[in-house]
Amino acid sequence: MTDQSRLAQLGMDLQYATEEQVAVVESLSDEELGLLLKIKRRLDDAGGDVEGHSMEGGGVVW
Amino acid sequence: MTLQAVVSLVVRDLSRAAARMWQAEPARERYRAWLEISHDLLRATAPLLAEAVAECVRRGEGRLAAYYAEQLQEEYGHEDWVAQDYAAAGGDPAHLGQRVPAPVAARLAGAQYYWLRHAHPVALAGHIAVLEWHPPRPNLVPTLVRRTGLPRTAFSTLERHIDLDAGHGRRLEQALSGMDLPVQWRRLLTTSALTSAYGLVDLMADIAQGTTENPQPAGGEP
Repeated sequence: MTDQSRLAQLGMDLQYATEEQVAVVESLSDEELGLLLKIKRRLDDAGGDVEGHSMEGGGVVW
Repeated sequence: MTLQAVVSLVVRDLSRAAARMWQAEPARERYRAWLEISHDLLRATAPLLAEAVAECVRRGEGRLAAYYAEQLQEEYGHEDWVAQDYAAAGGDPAHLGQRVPAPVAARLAGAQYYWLRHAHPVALAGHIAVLEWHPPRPNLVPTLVRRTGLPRTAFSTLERHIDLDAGHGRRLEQALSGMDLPVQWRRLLTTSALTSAYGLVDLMADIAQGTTENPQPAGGEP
């Protein structure tokens, strides 16, 4: 699998991804990539639009 | 591959999930659900850190043990803040201890117990990184006060973590920067961070969709 196909799977645009992010995506194992894809699917399943950025940022505390 | 770079891959997704959760209606009920889940999670924080310290000491991982011990001192008892917020939001704090903890919270914290005991305590750092490198924004609380109509005293947990998490995040960076981990534990760190990111997105989506409530208190009729 090429870098670009992995990035596309993740919905990342090569034009905007940093070099470090591209390198990380390339170095992920298939299992780790699978976890990222699960995150995308969960968000897609949940649906709903986001109305801007005022409430983005951390949603859970430690 | 640094942990910061791994976390950077999920920050946008976590932000989207958080924005959906905070915008979900009815806002007051969703916020109470957030407090309930936060109580489920935060009461596991100090025990997880204590186990991590013990396991690091057993393995001779002094630097990591020192980091977790310092965190333990600062993270102890935060579930009490949640209970106070819950009361200020019109809830009965006794309910927090009586309800069946949410499965989504058990999965999130439970993975960390597993890796601590059966793999390596560095896994917990991946979980902490996802939480503390992505703190609540300062404008979140006034926005939620307006949306929910609740008093500002119902948001002390969020307010306190805005500053706390930023400082803790820097300390975690320092602790990890000095560690020379073998490749399998670096992979564990990555897997732990990504697993926690998935768990958090799952949890926030459940809250947004109103699917976190458990109808029966613990010990009640099945």
